Formats: sequence, C-alpha cells, structure tokens
Amino acid sequence: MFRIASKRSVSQTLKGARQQSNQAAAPPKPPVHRPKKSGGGKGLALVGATVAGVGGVVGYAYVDPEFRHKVETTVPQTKQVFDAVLGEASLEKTKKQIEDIKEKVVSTVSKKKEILPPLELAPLPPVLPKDPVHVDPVDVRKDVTVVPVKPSADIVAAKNKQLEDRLKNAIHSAEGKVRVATEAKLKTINAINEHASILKQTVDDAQHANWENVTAALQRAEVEARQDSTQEVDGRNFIDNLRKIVNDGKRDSVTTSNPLLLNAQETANKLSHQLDEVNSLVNKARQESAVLNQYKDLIDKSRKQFALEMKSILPNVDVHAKDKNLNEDELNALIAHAHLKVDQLRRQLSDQQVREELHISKALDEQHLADERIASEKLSIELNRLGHQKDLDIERAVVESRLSWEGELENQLKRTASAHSEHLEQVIRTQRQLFEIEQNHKVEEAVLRERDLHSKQVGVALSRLEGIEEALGSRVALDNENRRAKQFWIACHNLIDTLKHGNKAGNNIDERRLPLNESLNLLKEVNPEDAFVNAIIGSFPKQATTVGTYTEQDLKNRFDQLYKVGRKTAAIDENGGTLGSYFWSYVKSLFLVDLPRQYTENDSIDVTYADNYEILSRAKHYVQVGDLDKAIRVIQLLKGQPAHLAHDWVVDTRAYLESRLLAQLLVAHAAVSSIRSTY
Amino acid sequence: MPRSEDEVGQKIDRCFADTLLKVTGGVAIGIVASVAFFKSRSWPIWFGSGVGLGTGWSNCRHDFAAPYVLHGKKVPAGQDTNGKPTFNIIQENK
Repeated sequence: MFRIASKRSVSQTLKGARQQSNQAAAPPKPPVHRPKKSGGGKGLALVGATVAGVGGVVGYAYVDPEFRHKVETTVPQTKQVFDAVLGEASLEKTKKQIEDIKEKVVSTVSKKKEILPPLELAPLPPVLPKDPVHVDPVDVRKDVTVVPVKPSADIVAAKNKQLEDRLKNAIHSAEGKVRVATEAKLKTINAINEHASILKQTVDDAQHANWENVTAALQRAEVEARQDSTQEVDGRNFIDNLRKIVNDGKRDSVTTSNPLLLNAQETANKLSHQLDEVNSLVNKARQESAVLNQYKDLIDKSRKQFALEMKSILPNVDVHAKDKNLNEDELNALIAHAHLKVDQLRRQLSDQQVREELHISKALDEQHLADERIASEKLSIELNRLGHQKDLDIERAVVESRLSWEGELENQLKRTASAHSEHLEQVIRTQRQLFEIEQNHKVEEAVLRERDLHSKQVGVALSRLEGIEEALGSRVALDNENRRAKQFWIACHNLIDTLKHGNKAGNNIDERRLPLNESLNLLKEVNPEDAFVNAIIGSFPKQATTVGTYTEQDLKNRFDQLYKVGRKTAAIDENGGTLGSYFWSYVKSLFLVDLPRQYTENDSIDVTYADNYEILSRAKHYVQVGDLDKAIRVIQLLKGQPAHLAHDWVVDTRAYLESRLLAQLLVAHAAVSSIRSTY
Repeated sequence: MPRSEDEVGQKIDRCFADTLLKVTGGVAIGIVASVAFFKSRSWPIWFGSGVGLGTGWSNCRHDFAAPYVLHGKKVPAGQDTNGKPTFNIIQENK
C-alpha cells in the first residue's frame, strides 16, 4: 500500500518536476518558492524564505533520495531530521524508485527516438560447437568386398508368399473400391441425367414448373458427385497402394520374378483405366447437362427479357398475376406490342434462320471441339492404357526371356560344372593314387626307420637295464660280500686273538692251549665258496687245529726255560755225556756271564764259529724283541744237547707262527675283499 | 708228553728217585742181613746203601748217556688166543 501510494506520489511529483525542469533548468528550490514572498516584514520574509528553503530541501530530498543522501553526508544532523520528517530511506525503496523512474524515462525516450531507426545488427551466425573431427581407423588390409548373400529358398518362398498375400489383398480391396467408385460414378451419371431431364422437363413445361424438383435433383447430383469423387480418390489411393506394393516387389531382388506382380500391375492398369473411362462418362454427362443448363439459361434470359419488355410496356401490370382482368387499353397495348413483337420475332426468326447455319456450324464446331477433346482424352487414356499394357507386356516378355535365359544358362552352367567336376575328380583321383603310393612308400620307409630306431633304442635300453640290474645285483652281492668280509675280518681278528692268548681261563700251560677247529669251521661256514680261504684253512697245521698251539707268552716262558737249560748243557754232545760232563757243563755255565748286547737287523752270524752260548744269547734277544721267527732260525743253529732240548720248542713255535701267518693272511684277505666290495 | 727242554730235569729227578729207592733197598737188605746173619753189625747196612747208591749212579749215567731212549710202561691188555696175557707199552708221562 505504502509502495503504491509512494509510486503514485512519486509519479505525480515526477510529472511536476519534469514540468518544472522543462520550464527552466535552474536549481529547484529558490525559483519555485520565490513567488511566495509577500510584502510583510523583512524578518517574516526571511523566516518564510528559510522555511520554504528547508521545506524545499526536505521535499526535494523526499523526491530524490540521491539528493537526500548528499545532504545527509554534507550537512551533519540532517539525517535525524530527514528520518523524523520523511521516514527511513530504505535502500530497497530508493532502488525501486530509481527503477521506476528509469522505466518511465526509457519508455518516453524510446517513443521520442522513433525517428532514429535502430541499428540493425546483422545477427552473427551462431557458432555451433563443433565436435572434434573423429576419424575411425579403417583397416586397409581388410577385404571389404561384400559377398551378396543369396537368401535361402525358404526365405524366398516366404517372401514371395507374403508379397502374393499382400498383392491379393491390395487387388481385392482396390477392385472393391473401384467397383464402389464406379457404381458411385454411375449413380452420379444417373443423377446428372435425371437432373438434366428434370431440368429439361421443367424448362419445357414452364407452366407447371416445379423448380424444387430441379434443385433437389441438382443437390442429389452434387451429393452423388462428391461421394463419387471421394470414392474415386479412395479407389485411386488403393490402386496407388497396389502399385506401390508392386514396385516394392519389383525392387526386392528376391521377388522380382514373381508372375503375380505383372498380373497385379495389369489389374491396377485396368482398374485405373476403368476409373478414367467412368470419369470420361461422367464428364460427358456433365457436358450434356451443361448444354441443358445453357439452354435453361437462354430460356431464362428470354423470359427475363420478355418480362422486362412487358414491364416497360406496362409498368403497372403484373404479367404473372392471374385472376386479374386487364383493361382495354392495356390489352390493346399488349396486342400492339405482341404484334410488334411477333413482327420482330419473325424478322428475328428470319435472321435466325439465316444465322442458324452459322450457329449450327458454330455448334458443330463446338461439338467437334468437345468431341475432339473427349476423343483426345479418350485417346490419351487409351494411350496411357496401351503404354501401361505395353510396358507390362515388355516386362512380361523380359521376365520370360530372362527366365528362359536363366534356365538355359543354368543348364549350361550345370553341364560345364559337371564336366569340370568330372575332370577335377579324375585328376584328383589320379593325384590321390600317386600320392597314396608315394605316401605308402614314405610311410613304410618311415615305419622301417622308426622300427629300426626303436629296436635299437629298445636294445640299448634293455642292455642298459641289464647293466643296471647287473650293477644292482653286483651291488647287492658286493654289499653281501662286504658285510661278509667285515664279519670275516672280525672273525679273523678273533682267530689271531685266540692264537695269541689261547684259552684265557686256563690255569696252566696246557689248559691255555685252544684248538682252532671251531673258529676255523666257523670261518669256513662264513665263506664256504672261497677257495683261497678253504686252502688256507686246509693248510693250518694239525697241532693247531686239534690241540691248539701254545700262547705266545707261554712260548716265551718256555724259551726262558730252554735258555737256562741250554746254557747249562751247552757243552754236552748231542749223544749225551757222562754225569761228569754234565756237571762240568753246569759249572762252566756258572762262570760264563751273558752280557746284554744289542743286535741289529743286519747282524750276520758266523755259523762255523758260533757256539751255543752265542746262539742262545741272540735267540733270547730276538724273543725279547718278539721276533720269534728269527729266534727259531737262530735256535736251529744249536748243536749238541741244547739242539735236542730245543726241538719241541721249535716245533711248537713254528706251528704257532704258521697259524699266526695264516690267520694274518685271512685278515688280509678279509680286508682286501672288504675294500674290494666297498664302493 | 714231556717237553724237550724239561728232559734233563726229568732225568735228574728220575736219578734221584731211583738212587733213593736203590739206597733205601740196600739199607734195608743191609739191616736185615746185619740182624739175621751178621749179629747186628753195621757194615752190611753201609754196604747195602753203597750198593744202592752205586746202582743209582750207574742207572743215572746210562740215562744221561742215552738221550734217544724212550721211557714207557707195560700195561696188561687182556689175553691172546693162546691164553697168554698181552701188554701194551705206553710212553711215560703221556
């Protein structure tokens, strides 16, 4: 409300201001209020002027918020005054006011500036955002020849069937429509004819003229004509539809050779021809009716003329008014006029008769022209029909010839193809035979080669397998032998132990002797097939196997005994001696001291000069060293009684040594076989 | 079977044993003879012991002088067909 009020006030004040500004461009406050100055006192005038000035300022500030703002900023304390007087100056309000003013100004300005034609800016064509050119990469190598796919017979049959159905439907509907159209046309013709006859009747029988009938007939004819035109359009549409289907069928390569197409086209041609003919009939009828119309027009004209004449003669007489008696003058005038008229008519008639020829000729010309037109129409129709027919015939002939040509070509092609295939077959057969022979040969060779290779490989593999088996067997045998050898080795070491130490539980020298039979038998059992072992076992001395040898230590002890007795009896002859000689030998031994001496390996012994003491001393040394072998050799050099005494010792020690050697041989054998069977 | 190195010792042993036996026998005969024939005189005893000693010496001397003689025992072993007893000779110390 406030806004509207302010608007109104603003507009009013604006008007006022404009008027003022139009009157003078001077500043608003002094000139407006100057006329108010009265002739009172000077102070009054001053006060009035100030009040007026202040009021003007306030008023102008009310009107112009910009001015108000300026005043507010320049003069202090005016804001409160303005606020109190004018109310708060809202920015919105001022904006609104500014807009209003602007609108008004603009509207007025635009009205005023109609003289200046606005510069027409040629509208720049809108810059359409163009898509970046995108080029699809085309594989150049790819073969892009499209092989036309020959549709299968089923599809062809189905399509043909479809086309035939469509054609049949279209033909039926088109025929129906054309029939209806024809009937409608015929009806139209009838209606026109009827109209013409009624018109003629009516015109001829002017006394009983019933123009309503004519009008009704005309209306009927027009209605019929409208109907028939719509029907005709329908029929033509249907024919066009039929034609379209035919064209479609022709365009489709599958159904081009359908015989029904030609028939359908023929039918279409026939139907259109029929329509054309009926049309021409209708036109003919129209023309006839037009002639009649002309006739009617002429009669109407003559009647009107007559009426005019009558009116001119007897302006107050209604010619058509019946039951009215004319007076004599009128009748006379009428008759006179009639006479004149008759006369005139007779002259006219004569004239007419003269002119009739011309008229007739003219009419004939017209008729001729009309006939010509009709004939030309008919001719054109016929030509059209004939053209269509010819086209059809040509097409049919083309189709037939094409069919026959195709059949012939097909036959020829078949023959050629069969001949070619026969030839190819023959060639292929011979090639195949050749190839088979070659192939068989090759296959045989390859098979032989492969077989050889295979047998070789199998042989190699078998021999390798045998080798492996043998190796495995020998491995097992070796393992067994190794194990046996190890056991044998242990047994031999046991044997040596037995030899050396005898029966350790024995209390005296004889009990300590242990026969080797058992251990030897065991060894034999362990190695029953070893000839070497058997020979060695067989060559053990009998003493060792049966009663057993003396132990080494016992032998040494026995040598000590032998040494003592030997020294005591060293001087005794081998055939014994007297008691005195024994005694003497004993005494001699008491006085001979055996000094300990070192004998080396290479010490030689002079047999001729070596006495028993020397020999015993050496032997003792060897025994102490443990070299029983050398001790025996030396002991055998003894002579006399000591040799006799040493006999048993020598035998036993030799048996022991023999046994020990054999046992050591067995150990060596065991070690060797163990090493041999070790892998 | 004696071992050969013990032969001399065995011979000495045998000598002493034999000599002792012979002396003892001689002494005994001398005592008997002395008592029975010689009115308890002592010389038969000495004589007997002397004879026994001499016998033993002689035996010993022979033994030492024959080193290859084998000493053995005669053991009866039943009868032969004529009813005479048979003997086996077994070596000494065997």
